[in-house]
Amino acid sequence: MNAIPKPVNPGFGSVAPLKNVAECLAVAQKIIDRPAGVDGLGVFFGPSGYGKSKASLYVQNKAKAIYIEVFDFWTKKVLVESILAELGVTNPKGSIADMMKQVLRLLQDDPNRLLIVDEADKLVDKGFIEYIRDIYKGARIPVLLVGEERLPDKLKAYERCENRVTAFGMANPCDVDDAKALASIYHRQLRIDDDLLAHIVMETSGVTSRIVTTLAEVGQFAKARQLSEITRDQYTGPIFTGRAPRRK
Amino acid sequence: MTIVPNARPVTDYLAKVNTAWGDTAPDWVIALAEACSKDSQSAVARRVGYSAPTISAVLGNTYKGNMPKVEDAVRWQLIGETVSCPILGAIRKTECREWQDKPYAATSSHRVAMYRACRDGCPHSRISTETEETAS
Repeated sequence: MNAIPKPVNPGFGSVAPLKNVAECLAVAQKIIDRPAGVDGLGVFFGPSGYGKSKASLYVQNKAKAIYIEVFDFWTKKVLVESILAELGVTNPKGSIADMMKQVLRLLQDDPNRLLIVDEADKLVDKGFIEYIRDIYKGARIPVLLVGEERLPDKLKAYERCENRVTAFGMANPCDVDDAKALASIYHRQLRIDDDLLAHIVMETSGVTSRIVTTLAEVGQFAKARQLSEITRDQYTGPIFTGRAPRRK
Repeated sequence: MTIVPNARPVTDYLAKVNTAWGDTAPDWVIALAEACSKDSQSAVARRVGYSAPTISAVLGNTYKGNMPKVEDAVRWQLIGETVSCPILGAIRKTECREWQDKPYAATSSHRVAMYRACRDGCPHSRISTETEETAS
C-alpha cells in the first residue's frame, strides 16, 4: 500500500471512497439535477452487506437529504410520522392524511430536497410505496430508494412507480482498490500487503461488511503481534466468508 | 461594472472580487463569492447572518464595518470549521450542533446511532446528563 490519503478523521466514522459510494452519489446527482418534466425517482440496489446503506448515508450528508430507514414493524402512520420527525416536527398529530398534507407543505419550503428511503423493498412489500409516490408527486422532490437486490423487480408490480425511475444504480462487490480504501480508513497505522488484501477480497466474495470485519480481525492479529506491516503469509487469523465454521 | 440597459445584470461574483480585491483577495472572500454564484447573494447572506448589501460590500471591498467579524461568520457558517464526529467523521460544527439538537426518533438506525453518540461522552457534545433531565 502506498501513500495513505490525507486523513479526514483519525478513527472510525469516515466513509471510505468506494466505488459504490460514487455510484450512489451519481444516482442521487442525476435525480437532483433532472431536467424539467423528468421524474425524480432513483433506485440504488444490491445484495446485503455491499455497503449500500453506508453509501446512501454519505449521500445524505452531502446532499443534506431527509433519510429514513424502513423498519419491519412500521405502519403507514409510523412511516409518515418518521418523515415528519426528519423534517423537524417533534410532535406529529392528526390523521395520516393530515400528516401527509403537513409533509407536502413542509417540503414546499424546501424544494428539490432529496429524500432517501433505505430498505425500500420493505416499503414495497407492505404496499406503502404509493405514499412515497404521493410525496414526490405532491412535493416534486427527488426520491432515492435504496434496497435489496430484488427491489427493481418488486417495483415492477407497481407499474406507475417503475415507469418513473429515472436512474438505476447497482451496488457492486468490492475490488482490491476498494479494500485498500477500507484498510486505509479503518487501519491507518497498519500496512496491509496487497496480496493479503486480494486474498481477503476473494475469500469474502467482495462483500464489504465481511471485508471490514476481516480487516478488524487482521488489525487485532497485528496488534497482538506488534506488527506494523502484515503480509499474506504472516496472517493466519480468520477470514469471514459468510459461512459458519465446520467441524473437522 | 458596465450597466446593461433593459436587462437584469447577472453578477459574476468572482469577477467582482477579482476587480475589487485584485490578487489580495483573502480565501474567505473567494469562498463567499463562490457560495454566492452557486446560490444567490441573499440566500448566502441569510446563512451567514448578514444582510445582502453587506455581503455585496464585502465582495466589492467597500465594507466600512467590522470586517473581521464578517470573516468569522463566513468561516463558521460557510467554510465551516470541522470536528471529528465518532459516527460521521469530519463534519462541520454547525452540523454537529444540529445533530445534538435533534430529539430521539427511530427513523433510521443511523439517527439512533447519532443520538447515542452525542450522549456517549463525545468531546464535542454540549449535552450533559443534567441538561437532559431538566429538559424532559
